[in-house]
Amino acid sequence: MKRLLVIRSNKESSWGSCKVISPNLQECYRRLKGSTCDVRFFEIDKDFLREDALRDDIFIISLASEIKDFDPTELVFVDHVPHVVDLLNFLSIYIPIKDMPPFVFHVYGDFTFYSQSWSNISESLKGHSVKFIVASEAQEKMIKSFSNKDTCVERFLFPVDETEYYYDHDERVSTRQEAGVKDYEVVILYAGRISLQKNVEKLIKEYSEIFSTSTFPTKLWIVGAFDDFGAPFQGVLNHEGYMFSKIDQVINSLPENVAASIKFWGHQPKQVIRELNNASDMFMSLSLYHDEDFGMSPAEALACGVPTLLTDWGGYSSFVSKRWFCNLLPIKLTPFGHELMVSRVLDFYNLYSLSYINKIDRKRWSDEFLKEFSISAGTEKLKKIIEKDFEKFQGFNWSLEHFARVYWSVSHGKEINVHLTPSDDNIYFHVYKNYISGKET
Amino acid sequence: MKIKEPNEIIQWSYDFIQSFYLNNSETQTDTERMYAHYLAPFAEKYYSPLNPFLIFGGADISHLMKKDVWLLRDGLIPLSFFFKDAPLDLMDGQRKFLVHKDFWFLIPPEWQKSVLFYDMIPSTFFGNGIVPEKMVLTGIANDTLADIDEFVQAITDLAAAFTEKEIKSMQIIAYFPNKRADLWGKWQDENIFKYAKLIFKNLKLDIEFPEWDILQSSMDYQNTLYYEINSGAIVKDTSVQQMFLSRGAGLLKKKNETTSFKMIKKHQISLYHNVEIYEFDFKNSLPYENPLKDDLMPYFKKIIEKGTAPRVLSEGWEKWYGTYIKKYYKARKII
Repeated sequence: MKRLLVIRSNKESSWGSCKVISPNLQECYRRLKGSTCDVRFFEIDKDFLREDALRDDIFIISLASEIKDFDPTELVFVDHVPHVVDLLNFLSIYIPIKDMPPFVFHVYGDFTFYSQSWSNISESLKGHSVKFIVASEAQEKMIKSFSNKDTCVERFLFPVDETEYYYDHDERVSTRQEAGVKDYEVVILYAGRISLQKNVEKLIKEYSEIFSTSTFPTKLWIVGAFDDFGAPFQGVLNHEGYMFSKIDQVINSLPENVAASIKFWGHQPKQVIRELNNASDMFMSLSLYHDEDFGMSPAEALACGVPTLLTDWGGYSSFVSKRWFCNLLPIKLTPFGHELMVSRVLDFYNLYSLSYINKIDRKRWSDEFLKEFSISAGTEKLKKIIEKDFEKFQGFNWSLEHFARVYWSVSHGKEINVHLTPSDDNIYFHVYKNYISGKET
Repeated sequence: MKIKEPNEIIQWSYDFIQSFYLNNSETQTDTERMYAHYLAPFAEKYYSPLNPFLIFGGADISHLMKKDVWLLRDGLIPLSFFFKDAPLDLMDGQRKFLVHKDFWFLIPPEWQKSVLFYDMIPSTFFGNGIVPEKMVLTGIANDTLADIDEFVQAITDLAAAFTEKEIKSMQIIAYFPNKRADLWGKWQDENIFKYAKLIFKNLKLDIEFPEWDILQSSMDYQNTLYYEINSGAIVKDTSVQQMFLSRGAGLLKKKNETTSFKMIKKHQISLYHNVEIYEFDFKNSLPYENPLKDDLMPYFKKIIEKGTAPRVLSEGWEKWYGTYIKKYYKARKII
């Protein structure tokens, strides 16, 4: 019988998507508990290593004694903070890594951010039984490109809570009514943070093209908070207020009727996001975010059966299937930056206009998507991954250390890091070419 | 008709210009860096098309000549210095300096045509029966930058705006970063728990004290009252207020607004708040008084010089002038 000790944070993550991902993932583990698998959770302080050294020590000693007491067959790390490498470094003071049970690491988009930590622990993990569980094909390719051998990597796409996101036609009708949207009007939705690498201003410009050519009255709804995170690895640090001003400038440059058809909803709770997804006719995201290993917002839209257009970037390409309506916008890395085939935005809109999509289609797409991405479906997939035999980790290769050094050589907004500026001939290319699937949809 | 290219390039390096401009400003002197450190995170930079700027480290005139609009985020003392010392070349008839409306009395007659006033206006105001779910209480609390009397006044004003039951129903979060009080005035260590005691006494005991990065990481402060205890001696328009208002927080409804202001423009700087720009009716207000020409000036000078030991680190600001100017306006009950 398997005994899983699942180590989780005692507080929710500050990242919007992880606030959803982690509880859903934990729910899958909870449901694994049964005749063949015992699951126990251990909570570690989210602020581990940041506040109180004595308290940190108590947490680690408690974890060590929990390991001795429960004698798990594997240690599972489900959260991105506190970081697993920090935990293992401290835990190894009490139990040497070689004497610890096999590890299951759920890898998040911040793998590149923590590249130095992963590189540092590589030697200690060599020869140990490990599973790196990634959330997309793109992330799998990236981790494998950093590894000495193509082993130890499993793919598990984060689940969506089917009780929170689903298609509801009555909700669609009432939400549209409340928002003053007529039946014949087309609503395009973007949900997510409005930050530099999400390219929302590009989406607005493309929407403007749609507005001027479409025979249907069209609206663009943008849901999410403005975020001045910038592109720090590249040396582009935005200050509070920058993204709002940038988007505001784009909106002010549009014809008045186009600007009036764009609505910013700000940060919204889950229930409102579902209502807006249900009320929308299509979802679009032109994100090229460097840690886009999955894409919770598109997953939520697809769970509501929304026809979706996404960039062929990171985890987004994992959502493509003939069982629901999801198309990709091709991306290429050129000497001058990311090249987007923007003509696909209008093509996608026209395809939508030519198709008669009704509530049965929406419901079918939603059901089909949830068959694969719900917590119930996720539990079954996770079970299979957990049942698989472990492989011995062969360590990360030289390129991870190299990447980590370059990544952390940023100058806090004082100069551009040319090695990590999107291009087709630098380290950015070697790492992020893995984020482009090249799938034709 | 222009044919649209099927492909387009995105390159975020162009956005570097903004971050470079704010990070590498040639005006960032050692003094400015020192002040920014002591006043962090309140004096951090933020972006708006109105060019928000802090002159507390000593303004570089050539830098100020580069733009036609500057929103001066500073408080009483740096502004007093600025209008006392700044060369008249800066007034070319086109350039406008936006000063917080609380400091209308600092503008000498020769500057009045070049100065407009501003205030940050959120979409929500609380008080008078409108009760937030959450309250973020923050500010600059130390003996050099904020008097304990000012702190007491601010906290009792806040408590008076709500009933006991309303305060009990709110989640209260307090954040008071403390640095050694050697920026301006005293060098002594300070027992900051006296401020905590005042908060507990006037509000309630159940208060959270999270670290700054925890507060900063949340993107949603809707239905939240932002209350900043800041006498405005050094910084008036703080980046902390900017952050909270940008993420949906509201302010406490103001009372006794001066009517001599006429709003001439409103500029939205986040999804949830605006900067309002005003003209001030100088003709029908109290005439400008030059604090340096006050009869009591020599007397103040003597007292302050006697009580101030020479310092090396921050000599610019630790001159008696800062103390004098604060006492001057306080004595006249203007602030």
